[in-house]
Amino acid sequence: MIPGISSSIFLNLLFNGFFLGSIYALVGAGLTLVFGVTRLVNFAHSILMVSAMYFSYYIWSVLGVEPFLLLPLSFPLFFLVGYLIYRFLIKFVVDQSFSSQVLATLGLFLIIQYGIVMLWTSNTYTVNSPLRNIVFRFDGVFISLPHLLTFLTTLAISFALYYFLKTTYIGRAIRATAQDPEAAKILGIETNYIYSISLGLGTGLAAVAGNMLAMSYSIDPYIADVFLVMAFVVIIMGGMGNYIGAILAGYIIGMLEVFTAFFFLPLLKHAVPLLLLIIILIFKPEGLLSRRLRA
Amino acid sequence: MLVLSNITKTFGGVVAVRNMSMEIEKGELVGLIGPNGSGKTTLLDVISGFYKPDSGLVKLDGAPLNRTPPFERAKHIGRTFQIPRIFSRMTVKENLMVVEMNEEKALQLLEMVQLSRLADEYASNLSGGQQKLLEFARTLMMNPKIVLMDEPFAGVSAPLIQRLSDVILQLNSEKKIAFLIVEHNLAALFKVCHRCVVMDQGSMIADGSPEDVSRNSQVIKAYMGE
Ligand SMILES: Nc1ncnc2c1ncn2[C@@H]1O[C@H](COP(=O)(O)OP(=O)(O)OP(=O)(O)O)[C@@H](O)[C@H]1O
Ligand SMILES: [Mg+2]
Repeated sequence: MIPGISSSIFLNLLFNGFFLGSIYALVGAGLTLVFGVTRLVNFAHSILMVSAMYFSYYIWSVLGVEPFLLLPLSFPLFFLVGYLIYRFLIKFVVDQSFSSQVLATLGLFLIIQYGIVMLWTSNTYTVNSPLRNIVFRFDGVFISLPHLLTFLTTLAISFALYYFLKTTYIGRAIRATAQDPEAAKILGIETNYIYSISLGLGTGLAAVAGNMLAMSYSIDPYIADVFLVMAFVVIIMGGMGNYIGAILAGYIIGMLEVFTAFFFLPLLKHAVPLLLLIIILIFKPEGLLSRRLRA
Repeated sequence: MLVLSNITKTFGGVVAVRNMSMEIEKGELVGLIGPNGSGKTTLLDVISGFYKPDSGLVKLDGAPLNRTPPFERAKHIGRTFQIPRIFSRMTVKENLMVVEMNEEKALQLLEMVQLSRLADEYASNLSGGQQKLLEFARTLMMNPKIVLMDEPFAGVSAPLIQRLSDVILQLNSEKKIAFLIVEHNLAALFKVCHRCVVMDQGSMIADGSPEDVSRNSQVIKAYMGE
C-alpha cells in the first residue's frame, strides 16, 4: 500500500478511521440536518452528544446495561430533548439574528457543560464494558466489537434517515421546509413543527454518536469542545445543510485524523483537517458535493 | 366568502395598502390590477397571513382570520407567487406530493396543466412558464376555496397563457373555485375575470366589470401617470 508500512498497520489505521469517521458522520449529519432545515447554527450540538455519553455511563454504572443496547431508548429520549429545546428556546431565536442564535445555543452549551461538571465533576469516566474486550483479529489486524458496531450502526441509521427523508410525508415536508419555508407554509405545513422535529432528529443522531463513543472513549465534559469544532469542519466540508455531504466528509475527516496522528504528529491530528477545510473553502466553497446530491 | 375590511399595511413610512375593503363571493373570478408598487402583492400577503395588517380584518366564510397562521389559512386559500416558489431540488411530481401522498391526484393535476410528461424531471429544469404551471397545480392539491395568483401570465408563452386561462375557467365553472388574480397583462386577464379591482398607491380606485374599469378615467390616469 504505502511504502515502508506493512499492510496490517495500514488496515488497522483504516479501521480506526472508519470508527472515528462514523462518529463524525453521525454528529455532522445531525448538525447539518438542523442547519439545512432551520438555518440555525446549533453550538449546543456536541454537548448533547456528550450528554448522551453521560447518560450511557450512568445507566451502565447503575444497571449495567451496555451503551449499545441503550440505543433504542436514547434515540427517542434525545429526540424529545431536541424537540423540547426547540419549543422552549430555539423557537424564539430561529428568526432572529445570527448573534442571538449564537448566544442562545452557546449559552445552552455552557449550561449543560457546567451542569455535567456539577453532577459528575470534570473527572474522566470509562464504561468498562465487556464488549470492549471482544476483538476480532486476523493477520495482525484488530477490530474491536464496539468499533464494528459503531460502523454498522452508522450505516444503518444514515440509510434509514435518508430513506425517511426521501419517501415519507414528514420527510418530504422537512425537505420542502428546508428549500423554501414560505412555500411550505402555503401548502399547509406548520414550519415550527417541522423545525422541532428536525432538531429532535439532529439531537437523536448526536445521541447515537454519544452512545457509540461511550463504548470506546473515556468520558469528560470537555470532549464537547473539540467535537464542536470538528462537527463544523465536517458540515462546512460537506456543504452546509447537505446530508450526504456531511456523512462523506465525516469519514474523510475521521481518516485524515487517524492517519495524521500516525504518520505526522498526534498533536496535528485536528490541524490537518482544518487545513483541508481551508483549501476546500478556497477552491469549492459550496462544499464537496454538487447541489443536486442534496437530500 | 372572502371579506377584507379596512386593511392598512405600512412598511416604515411607506403605506403599501391603505384602507382596502372588498369582498369576493364563492366562484367569483376577480382581477386585481394597478401600476407597479401599488400594493397588490402586499394585499395578497396580508390575505395569506405572511403580513399582519396594521389595522383591518380578513374574514373567510364569516370567521376572522387575524389569529390564524399562514399554514392554517392555506387549507382554504391557495396561492401562487410573482416569482414561482417551487421546490427546485424535488421532481415535478414530488412538488405536488409535498401536500399529500396521493400520486394519482398529483398526476391528474399535472395532466391538467400539461406537465405530466415532465413528472419525473427535477423542477429546476423547467422553464419559467412551466414553473408557474407547476406552482398552480401544486396549490390545487390543497383543494382551495379560493386561489390568489400573483402575475400568473408574466413570462409565460402565449400557448401556455391560453392553457392556463382555460384551466382557470374550467375549475371556476366546475368546482366553483374563486380566484383573485394580480396581472399586468390586461388583455389576457380581461378574458378570464368577471370583475376587476384597481389599486393605486395602496388604495382602491375602481371596482367593476373589465369594460367599465378600462374606460374609467381615474384608472387611465393612474396608468398614464406612472
Ligand atoms: N417587505 C417590504 N418592506 C418594505 N417595503 C415594501 C415591502 N414589500 C413591499 N414594499 C413596498 O410597498 C409598496 C407596495 O409593494 P407591492 O409589492 O405590494 O406592489 P405591487 O403592486 O405588487 O407591485 P408590482 O406590480 O411591481 O409587483 C411598494 O412601495 C414597495 O416598495
Ligand atoms: Mg407584486
